[in-house]
Amino acid sequence: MEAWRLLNAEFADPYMNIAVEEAVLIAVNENLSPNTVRFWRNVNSVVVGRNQSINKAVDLNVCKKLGVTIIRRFTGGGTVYQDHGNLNWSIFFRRSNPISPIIISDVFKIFGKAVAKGLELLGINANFYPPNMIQFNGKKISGLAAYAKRDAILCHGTLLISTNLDILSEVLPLHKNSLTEVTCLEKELKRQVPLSIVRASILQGLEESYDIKTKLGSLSEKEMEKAKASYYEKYSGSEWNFKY
Amino acid sequence: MQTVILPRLDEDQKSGMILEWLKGEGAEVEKDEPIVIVMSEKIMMDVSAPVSGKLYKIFAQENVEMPVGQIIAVIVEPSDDPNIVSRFVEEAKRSLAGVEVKEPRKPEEKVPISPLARKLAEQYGIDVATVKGSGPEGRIVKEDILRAVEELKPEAKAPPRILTIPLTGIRKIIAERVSSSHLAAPHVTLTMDANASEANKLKETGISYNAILIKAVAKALQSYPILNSTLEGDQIKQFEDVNIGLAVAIKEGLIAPVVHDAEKKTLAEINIAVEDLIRKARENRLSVSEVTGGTFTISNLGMFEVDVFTPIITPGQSAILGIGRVVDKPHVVSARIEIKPTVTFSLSFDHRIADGAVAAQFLQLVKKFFENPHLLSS
Repeated sequence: MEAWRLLNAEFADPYMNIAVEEAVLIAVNENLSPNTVRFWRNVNSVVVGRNQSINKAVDLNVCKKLGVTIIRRFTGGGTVYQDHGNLNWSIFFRRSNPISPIIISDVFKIFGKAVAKGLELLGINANFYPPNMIQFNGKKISGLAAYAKRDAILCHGTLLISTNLDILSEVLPLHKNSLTEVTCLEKELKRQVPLSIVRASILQGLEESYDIKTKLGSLSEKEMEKAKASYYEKYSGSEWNFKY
Repeated sequence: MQTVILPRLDEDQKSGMILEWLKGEGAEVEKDEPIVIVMSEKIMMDVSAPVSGKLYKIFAQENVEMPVGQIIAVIVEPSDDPNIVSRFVEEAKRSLAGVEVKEPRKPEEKVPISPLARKLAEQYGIDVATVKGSGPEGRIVKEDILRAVEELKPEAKAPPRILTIPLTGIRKIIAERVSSSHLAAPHVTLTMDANASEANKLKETGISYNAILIKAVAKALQSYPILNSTLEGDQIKQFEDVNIGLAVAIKEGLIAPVVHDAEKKTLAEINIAVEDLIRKARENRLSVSEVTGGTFTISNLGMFEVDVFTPIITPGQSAILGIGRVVDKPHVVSARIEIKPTVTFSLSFDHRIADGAVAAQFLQLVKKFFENPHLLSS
C-alpha cells in the first residue's frame, strides 16, 4: 500500500494551524494531496467547536488575564484548552480508501482504537470510549472530532500529555461539572512522556492496526496558498472566532 | 428533480441540524458541488448536490434540529415539468408541517453584533447580552459598546495604549526564519566553559575572538562533518565546504555575513575577512554572495554581557554556536584556585541530525582549539 504523507506542520500562530488543517482536508478531498497524518500543537489556546457558544464554554476574563488565544475550529464537538503539552493528531484520508467507514461516526472508533493501541506500546493502557473519547485510568486524555467532505474525511483529536490542567480548568469552567474528569498522561504516570516517543507510538498504532505506513512530507504550495487565504479571510478574524 | 435529505452521520442518530447553507434558494448548482454543511453532535459533513440544476426550494433553516431523513431541499433540473415541481413542493411543505421541529437556537446564543463591536466588547470585558443594539434589527454596533463602557463603574479603565510596529522588512524575514527553524528542528543546547587566556594573548596582536572562533569551528567541523550538514526530507546532506556565518547586529535586526571556505583560510586571512564583512554589514554594503551559502553560524552576544543563551539554528543548517562574554572566573588548577578569563559556549544542534555525544565531542574540540590557538595553524 502506498505510504501516507506524514506532516509535522506546526505553526506558532494557532489561527494558521487551523487554516492549514482545512487546507489539507480540501487538498486531499480534491485528490491533490495524498492521505495524510499530521501532528501539531498550539501554544496557550482555547479551541472552540464550530458552533459552540464562547460565552458559555470559556471564561473570557481569565483568557485575557493569561494571554490565552481563542480560536474557533471548523469541526464540531466541544471546547478544549491546548498548550505545548497537548499533541493534536489529524488523519486525512480519501473516502475511496478501504479504511473509510459506511457510517461516518465509525471513524472515531477506527482511529481512537489505533491511537490507544499506540499508547499501549508505551505501557499506557488507554482505551477508546464511545462515542469519541480516549480514556486512561477512567479519565479523558483525548477527544475526537471529524469532518466529512464529498471524497475525504478528517478525523482529528487531542492528546493531553503534559498540559497545564490548572489553566485548563480556569479557562474552561464547564469542565468542573463534566461527567468525565480530564487528565494528562504525565500526571497519571508520574513520569515524563517525550513528545517524539508519543508521535512514534501513534504511528506504530496506525501501522499495526491498519497497515498505514507513513513517509515524511511537507505542505504543498497549493495547501500553503489556501491556508494563507483562509487565514486572512476567516480564521484570524474575530467575526469567525466570536461568531457564537 | 432531486430531493436533498438530512443524512445520518451516527449509527443511533435520530436528529441533526443544518449548520450552514453554502448556496441560497434559487442559486444554480453543479452536480457534486457542496451546497450545505450538516452536523450531528460531533461530526460535520458537506452535502453535495446530487444533480446540476437550480436549488429551487430550501425547506430547512440553519441551527434547527430536525429528524434524520427529512427533506431539506429540492433541486430542479432544466428538463423538469414546472407543474410537477410545484405540486411536489406543496405536498412536501404540507408533510413537513406535521413534522416536529425544535425551536431555533435561542437569541442570546447568537447576538447580532458587528465584528468591530464584538472586538471592542471583548477588549472592555462587556457582556454583549446586556447591551441593547441601536443598529439595524437591533444589531449591536460600536457606539452601543462605547456607551456601555461609559456607564461602567468609575474604576473601569480603558485598555492600555499600544504602539504598533509593523512586522516588515528584515524583522519580518527574521521572524519567519526563526519560527520555521525552531518549530521544524528539535533544538538541544549544550554549554561549555572555555579558558580564554591564550585567546586574549592573540587578541592583543590584533586577531579577534570572532576570527579565532571561526577558525576553531571550521577545523572542528572537519572532524565532525555531521554538524556541517542540512536535512532535506529524509536525507542528511553534508556540505563539502565550510562556510561560517557570523551573526552581526545591525539597526534593522540581525544579518549573518559568511566567511567562505573557512577551513582553507589561515587565521590571519579569516581575521581580515571578518573585519571587512562586519564593516560592510554596518554600512549596508554586503553583496548577495557575502550573505548566502553559509553552512554553520556563530552568534556572539558577549559584548552585551550575556553569559549563556539558546541560539536558534539558521534554517538549512544543523547547528549554531553561541558565544557569551569573557569574564574572570575561578578555576581549580592542581588543587589551587586560579582566576582565569572564561567564556561560555552554547551549541544548539538539530537532534534529528546529530546526537548529544557527537555534539558534545565537537564542542570539546572547539574548546580545545580556542584554548590552544597555536593548533589552528597546523
